[in-house]
Amino acid sequence: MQKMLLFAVVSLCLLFTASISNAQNTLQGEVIDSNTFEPLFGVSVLDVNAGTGTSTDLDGRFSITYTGSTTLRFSFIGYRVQDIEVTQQTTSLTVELIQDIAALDELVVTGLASTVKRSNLANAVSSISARQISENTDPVTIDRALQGKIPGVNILQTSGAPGGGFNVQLRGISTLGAGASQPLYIVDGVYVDNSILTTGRSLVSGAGGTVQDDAANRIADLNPDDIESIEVLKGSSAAAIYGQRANAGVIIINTKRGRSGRTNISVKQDIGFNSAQKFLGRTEWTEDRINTFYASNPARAALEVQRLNTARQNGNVRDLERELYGENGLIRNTIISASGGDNRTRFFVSGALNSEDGIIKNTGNERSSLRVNLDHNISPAFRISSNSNFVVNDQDRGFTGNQNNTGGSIGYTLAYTPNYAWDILRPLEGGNYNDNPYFAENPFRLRDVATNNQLIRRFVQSFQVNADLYQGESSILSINGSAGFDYMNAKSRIYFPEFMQFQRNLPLPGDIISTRQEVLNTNLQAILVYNTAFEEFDLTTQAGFSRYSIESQLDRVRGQGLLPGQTNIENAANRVVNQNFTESIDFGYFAQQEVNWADRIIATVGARLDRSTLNLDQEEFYFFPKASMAINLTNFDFWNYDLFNQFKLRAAYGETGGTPNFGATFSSLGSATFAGQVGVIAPVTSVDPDLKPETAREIEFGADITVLNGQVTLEATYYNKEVKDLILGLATAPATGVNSVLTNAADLTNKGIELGLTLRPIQQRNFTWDSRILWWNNRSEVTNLSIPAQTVQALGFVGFGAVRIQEGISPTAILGVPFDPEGPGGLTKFGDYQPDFQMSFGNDFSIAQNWSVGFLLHWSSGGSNINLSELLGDFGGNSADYFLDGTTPNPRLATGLVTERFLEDTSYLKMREASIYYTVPLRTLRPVFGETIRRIRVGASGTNLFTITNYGGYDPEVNFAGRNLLNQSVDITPYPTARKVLFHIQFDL
Amino acid sequence: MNMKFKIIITTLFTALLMAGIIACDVISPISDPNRPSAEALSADATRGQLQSIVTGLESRHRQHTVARSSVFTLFGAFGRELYYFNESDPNFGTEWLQLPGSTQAETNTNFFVDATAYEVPYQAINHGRLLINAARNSNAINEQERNAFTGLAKTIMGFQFLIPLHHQYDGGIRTDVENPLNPGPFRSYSEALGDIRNLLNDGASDLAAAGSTIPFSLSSGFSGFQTPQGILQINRAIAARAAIYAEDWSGALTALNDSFLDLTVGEASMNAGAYHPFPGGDDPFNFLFFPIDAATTDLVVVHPSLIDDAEANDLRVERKFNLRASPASSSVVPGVQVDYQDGRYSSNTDPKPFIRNEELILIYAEAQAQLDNFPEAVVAINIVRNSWNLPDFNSSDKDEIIDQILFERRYSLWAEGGHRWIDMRRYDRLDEIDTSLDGGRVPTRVGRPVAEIDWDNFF
Repeated sequence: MQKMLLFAVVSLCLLFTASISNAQNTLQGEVIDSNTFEPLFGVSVLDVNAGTGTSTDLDGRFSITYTGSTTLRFSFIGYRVQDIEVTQQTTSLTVELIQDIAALDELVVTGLASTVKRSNLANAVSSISARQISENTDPVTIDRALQGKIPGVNILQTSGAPGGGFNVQLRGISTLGAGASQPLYIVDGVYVDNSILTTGRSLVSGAGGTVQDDAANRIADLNPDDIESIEVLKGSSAAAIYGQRANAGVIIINTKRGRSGRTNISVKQDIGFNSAQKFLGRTEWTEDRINTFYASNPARAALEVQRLNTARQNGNVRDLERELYGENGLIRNTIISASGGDNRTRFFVSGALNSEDGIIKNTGNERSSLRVNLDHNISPAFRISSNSNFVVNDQDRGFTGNQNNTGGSIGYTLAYTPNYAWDILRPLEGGNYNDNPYFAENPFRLRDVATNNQLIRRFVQSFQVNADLYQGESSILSINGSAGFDYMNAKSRIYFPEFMQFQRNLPLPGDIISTRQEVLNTNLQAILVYNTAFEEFDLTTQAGFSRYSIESQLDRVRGQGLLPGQTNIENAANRVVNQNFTESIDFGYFAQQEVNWADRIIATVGARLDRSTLNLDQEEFYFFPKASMAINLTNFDFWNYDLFNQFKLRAAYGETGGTPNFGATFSSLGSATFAGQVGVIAPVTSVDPDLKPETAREIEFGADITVLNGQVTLEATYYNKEVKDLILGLATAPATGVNSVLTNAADLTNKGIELGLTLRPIQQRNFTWDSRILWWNNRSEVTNLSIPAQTVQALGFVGFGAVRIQEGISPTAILGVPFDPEGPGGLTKFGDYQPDFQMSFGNDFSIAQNWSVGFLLHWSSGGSNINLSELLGDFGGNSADYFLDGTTPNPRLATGLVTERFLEDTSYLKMREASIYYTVPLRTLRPVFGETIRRIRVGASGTNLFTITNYGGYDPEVNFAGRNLLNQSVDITPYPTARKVLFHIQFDL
Repeated sequence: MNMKFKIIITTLFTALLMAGIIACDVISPISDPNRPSAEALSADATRGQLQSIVTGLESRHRQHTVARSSVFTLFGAFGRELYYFNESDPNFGTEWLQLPGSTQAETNTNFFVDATAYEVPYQAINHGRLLINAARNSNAINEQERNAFTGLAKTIMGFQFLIPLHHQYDGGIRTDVENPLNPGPFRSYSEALGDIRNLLNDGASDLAAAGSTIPFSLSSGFSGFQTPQGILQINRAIAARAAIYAEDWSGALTALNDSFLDLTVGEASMNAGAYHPFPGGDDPFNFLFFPIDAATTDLVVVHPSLIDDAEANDLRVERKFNLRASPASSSVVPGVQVDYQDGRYSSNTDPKPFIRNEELILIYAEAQAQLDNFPEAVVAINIVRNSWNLPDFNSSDKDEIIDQILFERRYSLWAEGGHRWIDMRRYDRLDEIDTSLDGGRVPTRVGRPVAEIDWDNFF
C-alpha cells in the first residue's frame, strides 16, 4: 500500500514537472569580476541541459531563455567555472567570477581527444596562454616566445639572424644524433613540419656541412599572434600516447577560435627597431702596436704603419664592428583579426604582416600570414571545423659563422681586418669596392652584393569532425576525426658574384646555388571517445588510429663560372646537380582509459602501437604503454585543512619512441663511373639486421599545492627519463670492407627537478602583482654502452671542443687538450655544455586598472661553451683585449692552442621581455567612440633588453652548427644578438 | 535529432572508421629513393643491375692504384725498387724507408698512408661478395650465367686478398669476412694463403661451368679475355702466382697450363695480359705517368741500384726508366740524388697491367727450377731475356738459376706491386737489399691495424 502511494505521488510529481517543464523563462543577468567588480565581456553562458548558450556583452550582460529548471554554467578563460542552478522563478542573476590564478580549472590535453582539468592532471604539463605568448611583446617565432617560461626545457638560440633558429631540448638529451632531436609540434591536431630546409650556404662559404647553413627551423613560419594556448608535454610520461615520434617531447598548439556573439575586430600595429645588444670592441691600432704585432716582418709592419697614417689623415679610421653590426633595423608589424559568429557558426580570421630588418644591412625577415578558422555546428551533436593558414616567409640571413678560405663570413673577416682598413674597404662611388689585403674578401662587398635568401610558401590546413553518436542518460559516445596537411614550398638562393675578391682567384669565378624543396606532411586520425558516469566515477575511454606521412623532394643546382651579371645557371661553365627524395609513412593504434573518482583519484592507463617505414623492420609494431595517477587530497572527506585549495600528489610513467632519420636504415650503394660505364659500389656502412628504434622511458613524481584561495601555488616534479637503444655507428674491423655498422649501442639517462611557484603577492582593487618563479635542472649520463667508446669532435682539431660517448659520463661534457691518459678518451674533462640549473622570474603588474607592466628575467647558471671567435680575433690581432695597455700583449696569447683558452662559462641573467601598456578606460572611450571601439591599448615592450654575463662573446646562447645536440654550443663569429624595442597600439572594435 | 538519423550516422562513422583503419594500415615498403639499395640488389637483381655491379667490381679492383701514394709505391719503397719523393710529408721517407727515428713498421698499428694495402683491397673483396650474393639470388639469369658472375667475383677477390696478405705477412689476415658484425679470426700466413687458393679454385670451377659467353661486359682492360675461358685463364694466372708463394711448384705448373702463358719471344708477348684502363674524362688518371723532368715535389724515382746493376743494352731500362736532364733530390730522402724517374707510361691515359705473360713465364721458370727441371727453366729465362735484347743465359746450377730468375723479376716486374720485396722476403734475402744509400731498413711486414686490435679486444 505504501508502495502504491509512493508510486502515485512520484508519478504526480513527474507529471507536474513534465507540465511545468514546457514553460519557458527568459533570464537577464550580469557577470562581473569578484575582485574588481568590473563587468566581464565574452563570458560563455551555457544551458547545460539544452546544450545551447550565449555570451555576455560589453557591459557584462546576458539574456538567456530556457525551459524548466536547468543549470547555467559560466566559463571564461582565467576564471573558475561556476555552475548556478536556475528555475522558472529566477528573474535576474549577478554572477561574480573568481580569478583562477592557480589555473585549476584550465583544460589540458592528455590523450588525443580528451581534456582534463588541470587540477586533475597527473603530469607536469606546462601551459602557456596567448597572454604570455603575444600580448606582452611580439615574438618573431613561437620557440622564442617559450624561452624562460617552461621549467625543464632548454631553449637555445643558435643564431641572432632575423627569423628564428632555435634548439629546443625538453628534459635533456633524447638522442645521440640518429633520431629527431626536436619535439613534435602539433597545431590544431595536425603534425606540422619543424625541419630546417638547407640552403647550401656552407658549400659556397666553405664552412663544411649543411648544418652550418644557419637556416631557421620552420616553426618560424607560424604567427605567434594566432595562438590561443600552447601545451608542452615534456617527457615520455605525458607524451606516450603520441608514440614513436615523441622521444623529444610534444608541443601542442591551439589557435584562436571564434566565439558566438558580436563580431570583434582587432587591429594591432607595432613599430620599433632592432639594435645590437652588445659590441665586443676592437683593437685601437697605433704605430707601436703595429710594430709589435708584425715584429717578425718589418716590411709588412712598415706597410701597415703607412696604411694607418693614411687612414688617419683621411679621417678614415672607424670601428668596423659598429659599421657592420650597428644598423638599427626597422621592425613593423601589422595584425588584423576578426572573430565572431553565432551558435551555429563561428569564425576567426587574421592577417599579419611582420617585417623586420636585421642589425646587418641587407638582412631581414618578412612574413605574411593569413589564417581562417571556422567552426560550424551542423547540429548540436555534429560539429565540424576547418583551420587554414597560408604563410609567405622571406628570409635574408646574411653571411656569418664559419668559413674556409672564401671570406664568406662577415665576423670571421672582421677578426683579421683592422679598423684603419676602413680607408681601403669602404664602399666607393658607383658601387665599387677595393679588395681586402687582410683576408679573402672585403666584408662590405660581401654584405652588399652577395645573396643569402630563402623564401618559404606554406599552407597548413586541418579539418576536424566531432560527432556525438550516442547520448545516453549519463554517457556519451562520440567520434573525433581529424585530417590535415602541411605543404611547404621553399626556394633559396646563395649567390657570390664573379667579381668578388675570392671568386676572381678561382678558375671558375662566380658561384650560385639555387635550391627548390617541396615538403608535404599529411595526417589522418580518428578516435572514438566514450564518456560515462556512474555513482562517483567518471570514466573516459578512447581508442583510435593515426596515420602520418611525409614526402619531400629537394632539387639543387649549382653553377660555377658565371657570366658577369648572369644568375641563370644555364650560363655557368660548370654545373653540379643534386637531387634528394624522402618518403615515410607512420601508422599507429592507441587506446586510453581514464577513471576519475569524484576528482579525488584520477587514474589513467593507455597504450600505443606504432609502426613506421623509417624503422629497419617497416612492418613491426612497437608498443608504448603509459600509466598515471593523481590524488587530490583536498577532495577527500578526511581532509580538514582549509588552508589548502589543492594538495595533489601525482605519479606518471610512459614510454615513447624515436624513429631513425630517413635513409639511416638503408644500406645504399655508392656509384662510380668506370671506363665510360656507370657502376654501383658496395656500401661502406652497414646496418645491424636487428636494429630497433630508440625508445625512452620516463617516470615522473610530483606534487601540486595551492593555498590561500589560489594565491600561492607550488608545483614540484622529479623526473627520470631513460633513453634506451640509442643508435650509433660501430666502427668495424677494416677487413670487413665496411667502415661502420649502425646498431643499438647505448642507454642514457636524464634526471632533473622542476619547481614552479605561482604567486599573487598583492591583490588589491588598484594593484595586482602576479609572479611566477621557475627553477629547473637536468643531468645527463650515458649509463650503458655496448660498443667501444667514441669521441665526437666539433671541428677538425680535438682541442676545439669534443664530447665523448662513454659509460658513466655526460654526453655533453666538454673534453679537450692537453691530453690526459687518465681522462675519457685520453682527453681532459672540462665543464659541461648543459647549465647547472636555470631559473626564471616572470612578473605582471596591474596598476590602477588601466596600466599593466610585466617583465621576465631568465637566469642560467653554470654550463660552458667553446668560444673560438676570440681565438680568431687573437690570430688577427683585433680582439678588444689583444693589447692590455700600450703594447703589452694579453698573457692569454702565450697559452697556445689548449682548450682552457676557449672554454668560457655561459652563466647569464637575461631580461627576456619587459613591457608596459595602458588601456584607455571605457569611461573615456565611450563618449568619443560610442560602441564602435571597445578598447584602445598602447604600450611599449622590449626583448633581449640586457644580458648580464661574464661571457666574452656576443651571446652565451650560440652554436655555429645549428641544432647539434652533443657539441651544442661552439661560438664561431655568429650573427650578433639583437635587442628589440617596440611601440604598440591596438584597437579592438 | 531523430533516432533513425542517429543510427545512420553511427553506422556510417563506424564503417568509415573500419575502412580507414584497413586502408591506412596497408603500407607498401619504402626503399631508398636516392640511391640503389643493397637489399633490392641482393634480393632479385635484373641483368642491368648485375652489370652495374660488375662495373663496380672493376672499379673497386682498380681502386688500390688510383693515387701516387699507393701500394705500388709503398711496397716498391720497401724493396728499394724506387723512392717516392713527396714534399708535402717527410714520412714518405722516414716511415716508408724506416729511416733512423721512424717507428718500427712491424709493430706500428697505425702505419703511414697504407690504406691501399689494407682497407681498399678489403673493400673490393666486400664488393665481390655483393656480386656473388646478387648473382645467387637473381631470377633473371640461368645457372651457367650465374657461374660466370661468381667465377669473375672469386677471381678478383683472390687477387685482392693477396695484397693485405703481403702487407701483414706472418701477422696473418682474416679471410672470412662475410658478416661485418662477426668477422672471422686471423689466419696464419700459410692458412690464409690456402684459403685464397681455395677461393681461386672455386672460381675456376665456376668458370669452367659457365658456358661459352659471358652475360656481362668488361672494360678494355680485359680485351682478349672476354669469355668464361678467358677469365679462367686470368684466374689460373693468379693461381699460379699464389702457388709459388705457397711453394707448391707443381701446382704452379698445373695452373700455368690453363692460363694464358705463352712461351713466345717478343715485347708484345711480354706485355700480353689483363690491365686496369684509365680512359680519362670523368675517370681518374693513371697516376704513375710523369712528364720527363717532372717536378720533384711529387715524383716516383728509380732506385740507383737498378741502374748500377743493370746489364748493358737491357731494353727494360730504356722502356721503364727515364733519364732526367738534372738529377732529382728531395727532403724526403736526404742526401740522395737520383738520375732516373718512372717512365713506363707515356700519357696519363695509359692502362696499367695487373697480371702479364712475362710474370707467367718467370713463374714457369721458377717452378721448373725448383722441380730440378733446369733446361726448361733456362729456356724460359731466355725467352724473357731475348725479348729485351739480352743475350742468353746458361747454367745448370739451381742456386744460380734461382738468382737469375730473381734478377730478371727485379727488372721485368719493376714497381708492379712490390714483387721485389715479396720475392726477397720469400727467399729470406731481405738483408741483401741495399739500404746504404738512404740509411734506412727494410721491414718484413707492417703491424696489424689498430682498428682490428680494438675490435678483437672489445668483442
